Amino acid sequence: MSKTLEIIKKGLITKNPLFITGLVLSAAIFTSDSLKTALITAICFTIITAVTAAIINILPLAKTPYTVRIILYILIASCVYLPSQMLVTAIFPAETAKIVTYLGCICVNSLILERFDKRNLKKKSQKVLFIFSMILSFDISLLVFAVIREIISYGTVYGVLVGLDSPMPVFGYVFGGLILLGVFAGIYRYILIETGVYDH
Amino acid sequence: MSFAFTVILLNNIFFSGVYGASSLLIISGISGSGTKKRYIAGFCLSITWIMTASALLTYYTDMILEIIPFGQYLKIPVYAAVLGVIYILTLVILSGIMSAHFSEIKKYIHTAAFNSAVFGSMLTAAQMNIGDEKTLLTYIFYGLFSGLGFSLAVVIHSAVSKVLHSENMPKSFKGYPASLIFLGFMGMAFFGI
Repeated sequence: MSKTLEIIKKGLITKNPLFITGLVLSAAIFTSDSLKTALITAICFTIITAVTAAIINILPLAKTPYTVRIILYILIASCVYLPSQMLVTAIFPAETAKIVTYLGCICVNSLILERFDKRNLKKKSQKVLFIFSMILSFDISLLVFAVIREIISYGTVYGVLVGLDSPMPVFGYVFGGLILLGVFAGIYRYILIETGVYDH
Repeated sequence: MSFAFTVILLNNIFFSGVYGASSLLIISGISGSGTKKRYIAGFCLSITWIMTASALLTYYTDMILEIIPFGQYLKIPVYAAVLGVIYILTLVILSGIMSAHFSEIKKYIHTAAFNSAVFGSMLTAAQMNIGDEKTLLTYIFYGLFSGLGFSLAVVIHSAVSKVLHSENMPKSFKGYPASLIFLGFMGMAFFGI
């Protein structure tokens, strides 16, 4: 398998940020009780992480000490946060107001802090490809998880009743989200093990 | 006293808001290698100090942001800068007083400084009141108790980390999935309080 395909596979499947590596968990768990709030998180996360990754890729930071680099990453991410928050507020004003604290926390997500410094990826283009495939993987996983969680918790999808007879609102709470995500992570890993792609 | 009880148990920053979940799992043993007790203690002390110091600076930055035009929009970049200052300050202090162990300690300082628990506590500090007004002490105590509350979650999780990573656990649920389920049930217990 070519290196490019291997990186994409790693970012998309074997190192899934939500179900395998557990990155950006706080925003994912708190906002995934409805598809609408999960969509807001996915939009903000994509803009903040992708633009920050692109800017960092351009800057000559290879010889900058990690202590300074990590602060720069967060400052860049927090500046990118402003337009992304304005965008989602314009589209979903009421829902954004409910989760705005969690959107702010995306600036300090582990994908920005840890994965930008992956030492096993030598080329900048490989790092960017890995980050972008992880962003896509996170977004897909979060939206799928949010759809299922919303159906189980409230019997709705995007606020529209889908006719589930006995929803379980307990999974709409934070602790319910943790339990449900744990179960999903277990099932996801089981599928990876069974198909032989699990990379411990 | 009731404020401490509220922030540490009723509104525990992790169990009620799930802030800092990724860092908690990293620190208290996502790798399953049985993280050293000293490492856990160092992390808990660091995060409590960083949350308290950041709350102190948040009080003054909030006051400034309230009076300048478009201050609310600058909140996140300013908080990020404040966190950067505290991170460097912490490293400088530690390199001075614990130079022999500095390289070992340095590893967990950045995890303790840059996570959603610290950032979340800065963003929510303004919403907590003792009595009717927001004072410097409210912010400081909120930061301190949030740090202690998060440390409590780290200690609880690290206490059972070995079991959650043991060979008796089904392979698909070993480690990360089992930790999430365990923390979910602990969150349910805290919710019951």
